[in-house]
Amino acid sequence: MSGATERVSPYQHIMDSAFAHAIPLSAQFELTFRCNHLCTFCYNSPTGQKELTTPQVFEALRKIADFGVLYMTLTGGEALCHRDFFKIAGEVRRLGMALRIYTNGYLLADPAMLAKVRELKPMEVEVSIHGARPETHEALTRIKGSFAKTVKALENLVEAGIKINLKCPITKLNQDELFEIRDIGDRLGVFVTFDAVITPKDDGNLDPLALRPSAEFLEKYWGEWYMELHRGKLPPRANHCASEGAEANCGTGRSGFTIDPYGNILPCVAFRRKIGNILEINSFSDIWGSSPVLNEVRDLSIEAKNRISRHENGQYMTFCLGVAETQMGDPLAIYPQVDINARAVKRAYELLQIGGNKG
Amino acid sequence: MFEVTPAVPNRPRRHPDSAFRAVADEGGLVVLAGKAEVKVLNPAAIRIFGLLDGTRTVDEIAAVIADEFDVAPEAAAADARDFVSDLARHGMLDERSAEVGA
Repeated sequence: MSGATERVSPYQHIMDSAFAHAIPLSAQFELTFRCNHLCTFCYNSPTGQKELTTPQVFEALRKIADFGVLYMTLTGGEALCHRDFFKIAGEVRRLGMALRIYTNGYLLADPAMLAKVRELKPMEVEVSIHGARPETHEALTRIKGSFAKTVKALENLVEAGIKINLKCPITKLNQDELFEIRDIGDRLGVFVTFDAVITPKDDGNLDPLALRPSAEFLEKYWGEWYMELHRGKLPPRANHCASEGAEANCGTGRSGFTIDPYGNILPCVAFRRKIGNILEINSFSDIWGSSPVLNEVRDLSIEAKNRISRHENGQYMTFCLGVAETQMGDPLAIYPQVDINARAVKRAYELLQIGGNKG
Repeated sequence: MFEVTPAVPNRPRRHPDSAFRAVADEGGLVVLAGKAEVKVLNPAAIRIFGLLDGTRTVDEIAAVIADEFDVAPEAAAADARDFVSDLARHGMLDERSAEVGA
């Protein structure tokens, strides 16, 4: 029992074991598709169906907690736009799950709102920033004043001692401001994670892809800027939700799942094949081991890994089955962005003279 | 100068803000809410953590461990006491749990 305070390496061991056994430790709950921003590249595709009522959300949370999920992420749309957000988040904590909140931060500029979030004792709050100056950020959010509010929210979160995961999706509008965005993070003492992948909308609409950064930019980003922007970290050669040595490409339908605002259970936030509806099952145990959809998704993820390993630049690929399905109509198809990124990452490793074996 | 070990309650209870999960036979994870910290526990430790609900004494918990993990009762009791003290030192017990002292 002396392992009580061990960290890092044993943690990865446990996460790898959960992955191998398809034990979902994480869930994302999209509470609502409503949002106070109008982001041009948002992937959400509301269908007009009626969203779950708060009692139905409570019922869903109970089933999720009973299944042993440890990390519950509340997201949207904008999760804080749900009128019962604090009741729901409180229920997450009452059920014994660790709480993460994904937000654009707009409402957390209000100290009273921030105080209520603090009472929830979230594990972390993830905020997205889209530029280093108002005109850039707001060209993407299309809400005047949103930059100042997001920055104020970050300051409030820092002051409250709440861990922040600050993310920046890279677009062609902000690609020249990345170091200034990093400086905003540095000023607040917050690490910024940049994400070079813009995805289609969930309904297959490809409009967001028009905002992708250019191939020339990506070559520079991966080869020259990535490490400097990420405090010396090497560019990723696998999905964040799977170890490099895992049998599957990613954790879709394996290490976690997503619930959409209508109660549909999805393998992950990106791969939106309906497994079932949470209101129509008695418990997750009924479907997690036997769902034909889940079994197919897991097999596809293994097949994706195998195919990528045979690809010329496969050692450098970060591939998403969901994007492939939405964009190409085939969850195993190599879509253009993944190839462009892989070539740029490969070039970066060559410049660093680091071998390409993934382990 | 020296570390003060907090007293362990008679019927300790895990911190109400903690979240935990056993994972297969590997052990488990404990998240300390509000601190963004995750602790990794071995299988016996995560079982003990799950039993810390304020209704059992450490000796009662040790008896469960001795039975389930097939270890000598004396060894289980000593390990359980050490572990619970460790949890108290790391602020992972509910300070309001039951009366303090053995």
